[in-house]
Amino acid sequence: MDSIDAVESGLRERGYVADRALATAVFLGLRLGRPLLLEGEAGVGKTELAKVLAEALGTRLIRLQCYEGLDVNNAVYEWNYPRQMLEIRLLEARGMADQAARQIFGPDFLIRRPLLQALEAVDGKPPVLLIDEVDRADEPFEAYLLEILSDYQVTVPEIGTIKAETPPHVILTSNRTREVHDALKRRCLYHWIDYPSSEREVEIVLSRIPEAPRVLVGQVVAFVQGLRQGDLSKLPGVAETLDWAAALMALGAGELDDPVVDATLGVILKYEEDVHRVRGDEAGRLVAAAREVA
Amino acid sequence: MIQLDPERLLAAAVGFGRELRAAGVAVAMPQTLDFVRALGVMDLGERADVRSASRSIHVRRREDVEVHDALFDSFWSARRELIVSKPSSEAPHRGASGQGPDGSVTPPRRAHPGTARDSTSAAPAFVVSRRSYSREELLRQRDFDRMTPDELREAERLFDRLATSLATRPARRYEIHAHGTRLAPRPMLRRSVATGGELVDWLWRRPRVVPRPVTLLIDVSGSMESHARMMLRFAHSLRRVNRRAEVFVFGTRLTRVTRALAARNADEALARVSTEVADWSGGTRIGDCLREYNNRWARRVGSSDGIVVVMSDGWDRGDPDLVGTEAMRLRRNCRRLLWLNPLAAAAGFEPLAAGMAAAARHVDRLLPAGSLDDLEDLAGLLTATRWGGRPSPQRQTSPESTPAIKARTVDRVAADRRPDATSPL
Repeated sequence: MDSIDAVESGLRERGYVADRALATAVFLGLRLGRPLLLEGEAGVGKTELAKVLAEALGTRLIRLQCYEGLDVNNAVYEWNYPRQMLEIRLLEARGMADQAARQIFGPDFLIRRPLLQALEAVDGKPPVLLIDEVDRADEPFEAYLLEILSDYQVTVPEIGTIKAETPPHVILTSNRTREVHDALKRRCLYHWIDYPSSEREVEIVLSRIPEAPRVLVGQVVAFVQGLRQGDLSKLPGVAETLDWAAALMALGAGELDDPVVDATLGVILKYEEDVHRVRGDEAGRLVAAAREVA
Repeated sequence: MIQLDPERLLAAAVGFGRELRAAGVAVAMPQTLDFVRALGVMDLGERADVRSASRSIHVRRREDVEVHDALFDSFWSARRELIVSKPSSEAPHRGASGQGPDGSVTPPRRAHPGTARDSTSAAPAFVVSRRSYSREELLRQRDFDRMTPDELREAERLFDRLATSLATRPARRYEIHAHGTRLAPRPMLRRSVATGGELVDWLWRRPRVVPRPVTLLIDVSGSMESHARMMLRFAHSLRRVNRRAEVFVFGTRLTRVTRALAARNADEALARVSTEVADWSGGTRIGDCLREYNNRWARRVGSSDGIVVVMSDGWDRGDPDLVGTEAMRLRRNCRRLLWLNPLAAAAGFEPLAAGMAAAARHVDRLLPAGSLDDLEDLAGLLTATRWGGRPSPQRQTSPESTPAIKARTVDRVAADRRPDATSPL
């Protein structure tokens, strides 16, 4: 992936239609060896990008889902205590108890959690490390992350420092429920993923669900784009568009009409008050508009 | 392939960074260096790509995207002279002298709605129906503005006994604890050395908890006059148990009173606050004050893990849109945003005051703050380790609580509790 075009087409081949600016950001992240911080509304494909990128680079994806209270034991490493105890007993049985201390703190007894795994390249290929929803983790963890992202090394007291030979490709995502700390942001490249344009959204749906009839896809996209103009608690993302298109296909609908929209509104709208607001007149208007477009 | 004169390019990149900074986009040297490196690996004929690259390197917040794009266009269009088709066709002798921001570039400052003081045309009529009182009504349920001086004094004493609000959050480390929920194998193994490798005791651990930073923003404008003293008194109690609590007061401007409240004696502390605050009992410009907090203080004293509590009735003479925007920013920089409104105690309360209505959408909880009972509810909320956790122990054993009050309290707390919360057995 040595040019922006290569990134763009590499992602597209695997069903991820990235716009040029996003492809540029990904390219620079790879080229400059910087983590890429992706922000955007839910369901615009932040997490998906990491998955597809790993596939395109032919490497592993390591995912760390953040949450409040995430700790080192769950994020970096933990000793495999049961196995250590077992080992001690075995050594005792063989009369080699004096060697226990030397043996049980070896790599075999270390449980590697995502951040440590990410430092290890397989076949010389560094993995893609996805740090998902970093805004959910707490500040102390953010600080720790900062440390890892600057040196790509982890110190395990009993073993020593483990350093990545080739740093992983890091992608962080944030839903912006709160602002990520400046210091962490400074270390990253940044890209805000917006909702796609109509044309691109059609392209996305078709690349994901190639067997979908074009007319239906056009109408679905027009409907969803219309919804995004409105005042809803939660606007539907691309993920919802895809789900909806798949749902309509499963129902055998070839085109949008009022009854089928009414029956499947819950696929794209996840709040009762939103469903309530759209159902009926608003839905009818959007269906009519969508049928006109496609 | 377009070639650039490397030395002048660096100077120009530095200049561009400076322009961005002047326009309010935080740019530091490492980003400038990244940008120069990026230019080295890109096709510079693709202007849109270069702009995207610059954007993802320089911009860290969505709000800055537009500013960046406008500046990028004006800045780099004015610098076509950087391009040399053949490398070093011209000796790079000008060095850093050519990078000064030329006068033609006017960075579009971020929208700054100044002091829009158009008193919003006759704010909606707001009728407060006070709760009705029975003779047995306890002091703790009485609205502060209805209290006699003696009652006030007694109420103040109650503060010190309040469930003193040690809001906590889980720390990264664990502590050994008898009621821990996870096994603590490492210390167990270590201890087993003493018993010849035999594991005798089970040890448990749980996440250590540390005080969660709390920021109080207290409205001391005219309409809040009767409540402000109580709120400050509450702030003083809170400060004494939570060292990381920060207190600000605002009316037409924001004043940090954390220091002033540090005095041990409450009356002394409050006296010091009133000498420091110039806009006591004046007008309110909530939006501007929140903005000032967001810009100047949020990152310095606040913490994105903290709780921010705004105590205000939401009556505002400034621009309600600004209140909305700033409330949203405030929310983004903390873990929870609570808004205490003395008016919210009224039955059928709706956030109608323009400022309040604008802010309400961004607030996690809008709570009443008319009486001691309300503040006690807040204290319980601040004490919960996890949101929806159990209320503070004090409040359950509080001798003042009559069964009726307890029922009311529990109702309110039950609403906060998630179904999976452990029962306090």
